[in-house]
Amino acid sequence: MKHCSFQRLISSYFDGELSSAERLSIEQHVAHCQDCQTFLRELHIYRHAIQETATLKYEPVLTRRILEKVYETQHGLTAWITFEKYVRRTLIAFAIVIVIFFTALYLMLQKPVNDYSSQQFSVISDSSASIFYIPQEEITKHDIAYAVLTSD
Amino acid sequence: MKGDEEREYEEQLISSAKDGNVQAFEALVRKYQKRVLNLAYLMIGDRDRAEDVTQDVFVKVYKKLHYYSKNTSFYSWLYRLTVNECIDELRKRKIRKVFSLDFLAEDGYERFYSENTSELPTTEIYNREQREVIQKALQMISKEHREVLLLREYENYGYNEIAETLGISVQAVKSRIFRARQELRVILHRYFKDMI
Ligand SMILES: [Zn+2]
Repeated sequence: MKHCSFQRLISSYFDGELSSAERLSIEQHVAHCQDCQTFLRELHIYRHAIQETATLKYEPVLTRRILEKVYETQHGLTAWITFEKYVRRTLIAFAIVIVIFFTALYLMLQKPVNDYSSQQFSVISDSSASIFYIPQEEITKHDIAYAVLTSD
Repeated sequence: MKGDEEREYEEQLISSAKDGNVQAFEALVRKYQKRVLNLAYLMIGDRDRAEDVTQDVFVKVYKKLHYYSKNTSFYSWLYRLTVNECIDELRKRKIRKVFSLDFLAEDGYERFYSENTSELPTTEIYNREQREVIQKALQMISKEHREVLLLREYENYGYNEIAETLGISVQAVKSRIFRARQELRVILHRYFKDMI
């Protein structure tokens, strides 16, 4: 089979993928090249033959077959999704129970809270109801002793 | 304008199908079944297997629909799924081995069609024979050449669309189509010589 060097371009020409200038030069060449005329004719024949081969018609039976298979798959998927949801919910519930349990355990094991620690000031009083306000962080044993001694 | 409306309608169908609407999915099957079936038939060369592949393709479409993005055309996506499914099918059954160049020998066709064709009208025999020849020739060329050729000759895609669908450059499309045609020509030249 002869191969004229223009054949690559003929293929694109046949597909309408050339610029108008290229198209013109191809047409001028084909007018006097037997090989390219034959090639072009063959391209037409093969395209037509391929299109003629793809003539299977639409068949409702096949649609039904496809949809049945899809439903089957869908049921499988639905079953899996339901199962997955169930597992996920169980895991979440379990995690919540664990968190509550450990929080409760932590709270139960905690020592009673020191009442003074939350107070900004300590109040020291005596029988004659004279009251001294002293910032707590500054209170030392010495201060307490002093306060008691000087309250009269 | 009509094309835009159609695309919009198709997008609606796809998004409904993604949400599990079976009627929408059914509409997509009805729309594309024939095209997928014929493509599979040209790729595989056997009607029954093409039907099986068509079924498998749509089941895959249903399962993978949420991966489909609007950026590409739905048919391009469907086309790739179909071609990949066909290639798997061919690999599984090693169909290429069945064919040899022998059937294209001078008396090959006569031997092949001497049975069961005597009662059919001549044109019908001719059409059937031609379809069989094309089918077998397509099975004999490489799968890269086959898919590019089918996009061009059967799907009527332009080079840009083919490049986009196959993920190759336009230049590569151009030369691949040319080489595919040459390969096909070597096989079919003798059969069509009276017409050329
Ligand atoms: Zn030439």
